[in-house]
Amino acid sequence: MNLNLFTCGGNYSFKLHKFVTNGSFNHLITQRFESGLTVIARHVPNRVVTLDAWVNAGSANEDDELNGVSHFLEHMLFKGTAKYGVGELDKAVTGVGGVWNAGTSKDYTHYYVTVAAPFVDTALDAISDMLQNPLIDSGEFDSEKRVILEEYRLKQDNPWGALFDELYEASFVRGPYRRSVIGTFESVSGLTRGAMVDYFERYYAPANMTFIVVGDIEPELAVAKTRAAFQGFNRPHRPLAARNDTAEYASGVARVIPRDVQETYAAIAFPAPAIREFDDMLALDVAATILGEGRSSRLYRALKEDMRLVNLVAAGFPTHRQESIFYVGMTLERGKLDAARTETLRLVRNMAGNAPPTEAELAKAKRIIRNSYCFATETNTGQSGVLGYYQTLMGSADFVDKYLQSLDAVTRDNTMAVVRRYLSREPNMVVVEPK
Amino acid sequence: MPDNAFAADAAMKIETLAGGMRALMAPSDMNNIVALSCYIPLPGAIERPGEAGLVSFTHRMLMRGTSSLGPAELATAIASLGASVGCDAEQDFSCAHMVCTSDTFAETLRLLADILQNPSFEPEEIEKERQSTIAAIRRCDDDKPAFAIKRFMRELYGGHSYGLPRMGVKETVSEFRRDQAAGIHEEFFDPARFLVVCAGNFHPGEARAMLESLFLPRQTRYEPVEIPAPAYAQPYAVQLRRECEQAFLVAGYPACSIQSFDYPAVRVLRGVLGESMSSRFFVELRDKRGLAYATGCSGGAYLHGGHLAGYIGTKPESLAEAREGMMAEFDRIRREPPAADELDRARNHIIGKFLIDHQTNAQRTGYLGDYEMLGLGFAYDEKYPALIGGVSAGDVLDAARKYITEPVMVELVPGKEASDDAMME
Repeated sequence: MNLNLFTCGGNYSFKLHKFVTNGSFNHLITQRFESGLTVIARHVPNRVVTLDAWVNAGSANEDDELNGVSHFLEHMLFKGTAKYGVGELDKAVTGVGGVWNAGTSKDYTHYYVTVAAPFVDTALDAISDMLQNPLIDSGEFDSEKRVILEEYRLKQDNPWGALFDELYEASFVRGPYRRSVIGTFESVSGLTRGAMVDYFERYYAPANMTFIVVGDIEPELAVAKTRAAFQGFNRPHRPLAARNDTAEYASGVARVIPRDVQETYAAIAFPAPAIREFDDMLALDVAATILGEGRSSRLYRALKEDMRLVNLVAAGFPTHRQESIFYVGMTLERGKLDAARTETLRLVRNMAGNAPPTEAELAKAKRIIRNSYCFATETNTGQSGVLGYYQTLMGSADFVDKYLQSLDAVTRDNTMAVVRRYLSREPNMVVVEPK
Repeated sequence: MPDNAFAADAAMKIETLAGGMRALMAPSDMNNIVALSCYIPLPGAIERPGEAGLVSFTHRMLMRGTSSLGPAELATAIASLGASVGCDAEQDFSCAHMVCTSDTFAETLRLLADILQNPSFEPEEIEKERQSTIAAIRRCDDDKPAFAIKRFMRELYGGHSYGLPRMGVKETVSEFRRDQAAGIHEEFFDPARFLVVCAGNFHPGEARAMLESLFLPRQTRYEPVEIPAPAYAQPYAVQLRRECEQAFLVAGYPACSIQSFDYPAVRVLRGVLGESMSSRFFVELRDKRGLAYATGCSGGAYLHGGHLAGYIGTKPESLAEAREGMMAEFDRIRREPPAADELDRARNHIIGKFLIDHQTNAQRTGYLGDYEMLGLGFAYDEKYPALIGGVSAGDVLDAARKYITEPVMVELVPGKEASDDAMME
């Protein structure tokens, strides 16, 4: 929830919220308590401990009316419990030097705190209490709604923020990912405390949650402490009635958002597989890396360096539980947009035609993916992020092992096949351009 | 709070290698990653008027090819190792850095040595980098809070290099020439003057041997450059207009250098005002009044100066209330010291973040090397928690009274035309 605005990098990362890291997770303890709560613990002897609670609920669980409630609720959990009172939770955690935050996504919400190992009990008491017994005080609800609307305004003033929400909406005629995580101004304005409490009671149930402990604590002790902290937590998981929310892709949609900007921002999106389409997902990750990861990628070399059509370009494939999107994002001068789009489509489709991936490109892409796993899991929160992400989406914390073991088997033909299957469709495009 | 488990251990020392390069080795077997930072005594802030961004531009040019590897070949070589390699200028020094897995350490270091010693500065690549940099400046200005903060920094530092964006501005970048970048490289890139800090899973003896064989000292025209102290702005307020949903206010003050005895107290002052969720700006402006999502107190501390600044983004009709609320908090901290529990939280939050921020090898090389280059010595990394822990309520009050004076204030408000109106001269 914190934001440091005193940075402005020249290279905006196109990566959406997807954990791409490397490394095998040995020495894990995974237990499922009688209540249904899953706990995962891993020992890292680095003097700090991260606690990371994952709730299997995000904006994909919302409808138009409830849009934004997952994210709003995430804010409200920091605003006190019966035991801690308004403002007391952060005082407890900060008082022992803890650093904490939370994030809401389309598929999940998670809350994480890192403290020096001697203070793990303080952090555990605070985070477990807020997950089980949040006040959701009505006065605080009204005040925090104004904060969320300010967050919405801030996002509108950022070209990428406005563009990616619009890109998901443009890409799907219907489906769980059409709506944004933050919600619309109208939906957030209309949310009631009653609806939020109902949502909380349905989804913040032990069987729908995973609690992860990574750091300088013996895993057995971590599990015992977690068990004690969640003693008596037995709320049933009562998801809202399933809606007919199967993804249906749009095709050939083009939207332009005029803004007070100097650079033009564009993203071209194609359909992409759900995480359960394991082989396709893996091959498309390799294709995305070859096409648009870093300065040696095909799109970067051709569009930015050789043709000088764009000033920044990258490809991405944020994996979701359900069908997702594959996108190429770029910034450029407005007058070059048509040529850049044409060349992008040519380069993407050529990968399934007259310019298949070379063996060197495949090896390079696999190395990049492996190493990015490795580097991202250098911190406790990086490790808990990977474990929680795969446990929540796939019910298996060691899914990452399967992912990395299978990576080597991706071939040129696999890669060409997914490019043909997913990226030959007519894409959708959203552009933020100068007024 | 416990000691910093990741900080320099007592046995660590800077050694001088054959050829003169200084090296600090921090081996660890926590994982199979190695980070290496190569510090160059080339401050970004040495840029003269009309050169804003030139040092940073020179660094980015290093990534655009060497005498033996073209730009595409170089990028492919780095990516094929799965490594990360880059270089950039800070205000008081420059730093090249690499992160790789242990099995590719030698190959990655070989590439870094080539990048730092044999850049090609091809004219065509200069033009490409110019286009890329000007676009990056445009993107930065498209981000409304960043646009306001950029203006604030320029005003506060009175045009001194510390207040100019390291990326430069369109007017200066448009004029950069090949000979300027090559000249900077010629003058400052002598490996005998480099400081290398290496952390992670590597063998120090092998690293030492590689550094000595790969980095060759050479004659340069190098002369140490003295950066003048900034002549800070007088109190000043300006309102900028852009088409935006949210108004943004940044208000701040000149503060002390990182070497000042006041620095720990100023650092805690920032913590009390606006860093954690229980800091004053967060509680008073965000939690109680619902004025903002983004609010806080930030700052900078360099060799020859520093600043602290509050910021808040709010709907335009709440701007006056946000301004009044923030200035009331700046005023309150000058009148009465923080309560004991509030002080404790602020200190512990800073120390906790500091410890947690040492988990990666790259973070460790960054802290050790930065402190050494800032004249504090790498062992400052061990002393820092105690220095912060030793700040008293009286120290915070003294710092507030000394540095919180008349503000420099920049406000961004919705308006049809890009323009600015002085609110107070």
